Amino acid sequence: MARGGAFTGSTIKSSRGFAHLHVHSPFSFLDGASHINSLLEKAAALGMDCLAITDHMSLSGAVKFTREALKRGIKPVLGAELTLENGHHLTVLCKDENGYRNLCRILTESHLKSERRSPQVSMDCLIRYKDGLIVLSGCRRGEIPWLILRKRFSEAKAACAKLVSAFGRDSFYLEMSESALPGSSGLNKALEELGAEFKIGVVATNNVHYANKEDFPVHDVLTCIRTLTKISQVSPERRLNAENYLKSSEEMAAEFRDYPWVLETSRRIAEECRFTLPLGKTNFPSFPVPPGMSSAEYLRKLVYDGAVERYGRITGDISRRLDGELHVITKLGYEDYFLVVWDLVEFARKSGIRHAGRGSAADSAVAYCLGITDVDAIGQGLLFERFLSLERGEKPDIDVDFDARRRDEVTRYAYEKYGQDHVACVATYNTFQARAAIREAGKVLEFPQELLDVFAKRLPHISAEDIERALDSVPELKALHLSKGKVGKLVDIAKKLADLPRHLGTHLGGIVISRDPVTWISPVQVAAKGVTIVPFDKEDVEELGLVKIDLLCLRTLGAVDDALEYISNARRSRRENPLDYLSIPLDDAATYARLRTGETVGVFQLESPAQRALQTRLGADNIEDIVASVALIRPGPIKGDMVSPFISRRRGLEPVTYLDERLEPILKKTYGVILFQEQVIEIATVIGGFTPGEADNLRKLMTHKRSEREMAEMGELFVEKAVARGTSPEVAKAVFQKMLGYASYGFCEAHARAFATTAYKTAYLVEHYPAEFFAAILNNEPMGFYPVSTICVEARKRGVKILGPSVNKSFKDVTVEGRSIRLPLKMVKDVPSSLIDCIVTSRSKRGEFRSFQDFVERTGAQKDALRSLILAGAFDELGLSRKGLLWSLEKTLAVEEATKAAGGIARPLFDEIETAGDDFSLAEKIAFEYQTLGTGVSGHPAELWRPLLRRKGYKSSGELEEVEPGALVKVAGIPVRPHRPPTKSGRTVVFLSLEDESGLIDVTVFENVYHRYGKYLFPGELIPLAVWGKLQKRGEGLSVLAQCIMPLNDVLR
Amino acid sequence: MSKLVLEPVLVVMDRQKPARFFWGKHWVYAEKITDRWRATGQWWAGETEKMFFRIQSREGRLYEIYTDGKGWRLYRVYD
Repeated sequence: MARGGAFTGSTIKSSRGFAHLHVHSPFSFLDGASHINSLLEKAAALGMDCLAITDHMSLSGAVKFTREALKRGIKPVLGAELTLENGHHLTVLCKDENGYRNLCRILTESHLKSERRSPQVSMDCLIRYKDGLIVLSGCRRGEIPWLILRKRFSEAKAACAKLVSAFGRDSFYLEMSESALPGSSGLNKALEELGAEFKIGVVATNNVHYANKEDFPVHDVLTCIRTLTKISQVSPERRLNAENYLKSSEEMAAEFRDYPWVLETSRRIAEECRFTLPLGKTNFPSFPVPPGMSSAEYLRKLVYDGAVERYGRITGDISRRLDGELHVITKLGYEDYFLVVWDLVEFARKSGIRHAGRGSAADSAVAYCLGITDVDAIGQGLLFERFLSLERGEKPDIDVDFDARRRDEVTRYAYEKYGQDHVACVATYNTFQARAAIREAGKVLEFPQELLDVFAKRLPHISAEDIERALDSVPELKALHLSKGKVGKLVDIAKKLADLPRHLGTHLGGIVISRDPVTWISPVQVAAKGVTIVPFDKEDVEELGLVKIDLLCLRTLGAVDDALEYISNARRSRRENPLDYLSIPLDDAATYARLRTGETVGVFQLESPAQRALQTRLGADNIEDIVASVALIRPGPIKGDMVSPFISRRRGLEPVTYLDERLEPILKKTYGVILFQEQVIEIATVIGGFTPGEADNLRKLMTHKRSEREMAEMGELFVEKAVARGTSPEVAKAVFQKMLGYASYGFCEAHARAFATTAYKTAYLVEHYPAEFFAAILNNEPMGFYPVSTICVEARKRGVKILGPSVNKSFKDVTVEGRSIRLPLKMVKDVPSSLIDCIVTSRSKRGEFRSFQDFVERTGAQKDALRSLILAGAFDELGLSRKGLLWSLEKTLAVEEATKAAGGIARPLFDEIETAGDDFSLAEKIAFEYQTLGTGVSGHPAELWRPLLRRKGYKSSGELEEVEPGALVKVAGIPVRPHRPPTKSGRTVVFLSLEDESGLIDVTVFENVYHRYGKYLFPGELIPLAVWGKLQKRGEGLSVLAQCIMPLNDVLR
Repeated sequence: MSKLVLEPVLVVMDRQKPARFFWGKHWVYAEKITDRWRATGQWWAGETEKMFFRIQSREGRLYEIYTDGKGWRLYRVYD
């Protein structure tokens, strides 16, 4: 909350009917079955002008509820249903700003002091923070009704006396919460008598959990999910009837016809609650500047110091740009925010944590001079207005990537420096999407687990609302023959779960740092990771006035760090200087040559099949091409079919033309094509004479796909302004059409540039240091686009040997041995970190393990870990067969146990352990390696299939070069990442790669073929495939246009 | 003690409340309705909502009867 108290009372006057004061939104997590909008729409339809939300121990719905209620002219009342330490419930409502702050304090204290997931409020805490709150006695789980229902009337009276004395007659009400449950008539009568005796108000509520009566099944299923109950099982948490919906005033009057005044009380309380959550204000963080300096002065000093470091000499242009940016930053009051981000980045720099700014912040020269980004906004001609402008006055949004392994150090630093009370992580709302909805609802409805598995796995990543459509259109689902009769009820329920929040999560990197204590604005709770979070997502946090900073994890940065260390070790052994990452030349011919071959697996941002295909056609030879590449392979440009025209112009196959000569300086770097959002802003400024802020509004209008009417209005304004500046109407219209055609797909240039440098540098490392870079990627798995096995195949292709894990040679992390990569112990399934530490320590203290028994004795490894290590080949060098070791495993463990128990007496028995003489076949070894390591070390499965495949006319990836483009070809391999990106036509096209022993074969599957073979492409499990199709050559790249797809087993049979 | 009966009964209403019902070859007159509630039942198996009444007879016995909108059943009898 802004200093000085920014809350204002609502101007909406409650005037008629009944007001629902006990309502659960979906932010009661699995206890609210209707979206906030549905609740409000129903309330509006019923003519209600006031509604409260009272979620269980949560205010997560407060921002959305307030925003949406105000839009509909409904007065939002905020509150919560509290669970006390004795398990009883109380409903509390915020009367005023103080009440809201106190509710935040109550929730925070309860969440922080209780066990996670079951927060409870102490009476002491509630009394301490009672000011500004109205307290209702609660639903049937409230202490008073609970005692009455058990006919413990004198105790109920005592409880009532206690609560009246705690909160006062004016702020405590008895709640008649339901009327259609067994015992309700007696309960309500007793509450009425109690009210009369204590001279306190009695209020009617309906303990609403969903908007409409017909939503009851959804609530019942949610309750079952929450309580791990099957639909046929009984649970006290499940509701007996469907009466907890948002009833009309008339329905409520009928229900409580014996006590008409309790409805009146609801009006009185609603009128007393005058607090409205203020949205859109800002609570900037505060940076402790050196004495005698203002934040603006200190920021200016840091920026100019940084500028000297970045540019050497500060020219007039640089100084004008920096002053302009600083003017905007200061005018908007963002100087502390910049200082805080600088401080965090500076901490990372000093601590050796690799980091890189991303996003539109790279449009800022100030951010560059502060070391937040590494993109020279002035040198690259980037527009600051895309990032910040006085007209928009939006909150700045700076995202910084950190080495994933060390990002938490930066977060910890923020907590320590700015105080636990002023820092919290941002939450995410994990919502029901198609797969989870089917799995969870199906489990409750007692569908067979096998059916749910295959159903969920074959569902694309879609909204639960679209399941029905997917059943009719997605081939792999159609193949399951799931009739309406069979799954109709499940699909109906799953559909209604769509987008309901299931639980709170922690945002990947968003933190808020506020000037005032966070708990003045929001409750704080502890997330699973142990950090404190505000229970709002990033959009809600911003509306609430908190400023978010994204401290993101980027595994690539960890991989770069590891690669540099491997390289330094290698160079050190050759007495060479370590590689200076910052000095990697951006014009290395070999790197560009490698990119042009499309062999970019492992390269940041350039490794997807679409990127690999682009690289073979684009002919990249400078960093601008990489910037364009990053921006081109996005849904927008692909959908807009702008990739091919761009390539043609880039390669000189199509002339580069401009509709107006003033466009040349703006579009020259992208060959006359509008590729970046910044270009839209510049065109609007130069041709249309828009102010930078107006131009950015135009960009936003375009990128957010507004209505045709809005676009037409904007077009008219652009043409009018352009004509007034001397442009012919025809040219002005044509330019606007171009902007329309491209702008919605435009990418932020600053972001593309921020990524392009890392993309190029990782390409450089792949080209010149393949062993070290692939080792680094393997060490940071899971990362990037491909699984471990593909990385290993690609490494082998570059002449790098993959060595299996070894109990005597492997460490926790991947190691590089000359031109070989040694797989680490952490990669072996079921091997715990503690065992790895024990292995490494034992080896350093007592030397290598001499035998399997020696290993078991020294490490005390458990059976699962030993089994995995054996199957992964980690004992191979001890000279025993894997099969033999597995055979003797039980016996070895038994002897080890007996030895321990008998103090060494059984030791001689070790000599008697025999191992089977033969070993697993190569096929078995590879299969077990895949099972335990995720890749083959002894070989690739395709090597085993190859003799038969060759006889049947199949080509390996390495042999495709010999085939004439256009010819029919048969290929086979392990499918990697089949996916269905959006297309211009809207038709489905599936892209996948087949991995074989010599590399990847890219396969394109058009819709008609997909409809016939989709069940093999997305079967829900990994099935090696055989593909017949036409070989295509585009640029230097080859791909197969599939005509027939089948499981490889059918071919090998 | 109570026992489940689940037998169809004929009910005569008075001002939206059961006044008497016919069961065991004779009429049971309601002295008072001591409780009433609604229950959704097994919605997933196609059951519809039922309205329950707990009736105290003139003889002082307790009965629970319900209607699902189509007919009435005696649900439970208390000793």
